[in-house]
Amino acid sequence: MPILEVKNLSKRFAEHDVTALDNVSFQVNEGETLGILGESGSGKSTLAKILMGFLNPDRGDIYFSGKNKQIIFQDPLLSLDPKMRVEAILKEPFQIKKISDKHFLGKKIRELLSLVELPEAFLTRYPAELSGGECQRVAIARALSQDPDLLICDEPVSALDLLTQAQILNLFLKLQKNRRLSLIFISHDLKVIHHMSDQVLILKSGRVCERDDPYAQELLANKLSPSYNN
Amino acid sequence: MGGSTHPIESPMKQLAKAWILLMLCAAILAPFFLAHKASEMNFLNALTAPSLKHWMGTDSLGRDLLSRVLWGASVSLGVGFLAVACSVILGVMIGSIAGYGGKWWDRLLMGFSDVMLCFPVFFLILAVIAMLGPGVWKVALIIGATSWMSTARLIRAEIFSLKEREFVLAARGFGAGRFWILQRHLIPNALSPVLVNAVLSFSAAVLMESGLSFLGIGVQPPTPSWGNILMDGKATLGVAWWLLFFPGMMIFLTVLSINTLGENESHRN
Repeated sequence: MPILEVKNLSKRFAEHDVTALDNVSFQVNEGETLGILGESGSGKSTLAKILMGFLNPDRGDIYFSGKNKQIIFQDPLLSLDPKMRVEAILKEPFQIKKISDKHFLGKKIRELLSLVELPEAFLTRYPAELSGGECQRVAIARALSQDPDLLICDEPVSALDLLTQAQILNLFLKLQKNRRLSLIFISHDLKVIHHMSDQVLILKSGRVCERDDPYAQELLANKLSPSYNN
Repeated sequence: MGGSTHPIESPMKQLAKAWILLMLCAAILAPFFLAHKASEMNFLNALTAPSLKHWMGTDSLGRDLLSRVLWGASVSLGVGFLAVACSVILGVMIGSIAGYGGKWWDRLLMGFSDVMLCFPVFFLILAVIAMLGPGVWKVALIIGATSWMSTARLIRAEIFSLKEREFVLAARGFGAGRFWILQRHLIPNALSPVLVNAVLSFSAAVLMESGLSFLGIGVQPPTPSWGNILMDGKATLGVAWWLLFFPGMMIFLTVLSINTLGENESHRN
């Protein structure tokens, strides 16, 4: 059963004379992971921004049958406000929804931290005092605070070192299994996509490449790196 | 953020800090202790040179110049503070709306700011005072209302660079409205350069007040300000150098100290 269906999505940036997306269609099933693979400039991040509603498409339709979707960004440090402590960062989504009950917020924030395996001592820290992996865990906890059924991960591990990458990827898999999350996993790294995805969509210059396309065949012929195996 | 280490402060910066602290103490305490002494006239003592009894001498009405200069600190610094507060509040509001309100607001407000920048501010202030009449608070508010443009431009430029950052997009993803994003994320992150600019504007406001009061259209006697003490002194320049030297040194040292601290902050940012 699809939780997200995208039909004929197109987006052009007239000022730069660039077609970012050209007739892109796909669907994501409940509890599954769609990997989106593509080089820099293939339209992956534009697609993520359109799916989140940050950009409007020129054409096409998006059908989302879930309750909530959230996004995880590539640079973990940039995705957290540098002037806010971790506690304020995690409280913010609730405060936006006008939930301010102290007891409830305290309990919820402790739950979120334990979900992403961070100690409570981190609550008083600023993002600049955390490592890249720890920042990304805070960003994931913040996204999970809204109980999303779809998580769009826009290159969430490409700014991290190999060991941290593996830890964060395994965290995603664990969360997906426990919470029946659907994931859209965007990456330029074939090994990461192989490790995470149930289906793979390949983007090239804003267009979807079919499996029999020579570019897609060349990409998919690569072997999976053992370092990402559970 | 937490981990930064502070280098040893230069002697110049330490002196500047000490001077500002001294002037702030004078500004806060002088009205309580010196109001009477500063306005007490004694014609027998008029225009006496600095001595042990009157460290800075006396003016043409025999008033103790040290008391007047210290009381003047509270007026001059008060005007500077109010003027800067007014210009920062206006600048942050106008810059935020221009930076995050969309193209139409940006064009309108930045066009208005360009028009304001085209006026020679000093003459604009003269014209407004000619209409409204002189007075301490009016001078402060007028200086503030005519010096918000650089703050507005700084805030707008910062907001332009911040508004597509991931943490702002993340807040949008949680359903945050424009006002929420502006006051929780954009303004706090855009404020550092504005605060440096505010320190430098503070010294400009003190100078502006002195200039206006020197011309007789700022702070009105008998309330002393550094500017109007200078103005009183110009009539007796040939016989009483101290009436120009001490208030002049106060303005010079205070503006220099504020600029030194402001420069230091701008290097740190």
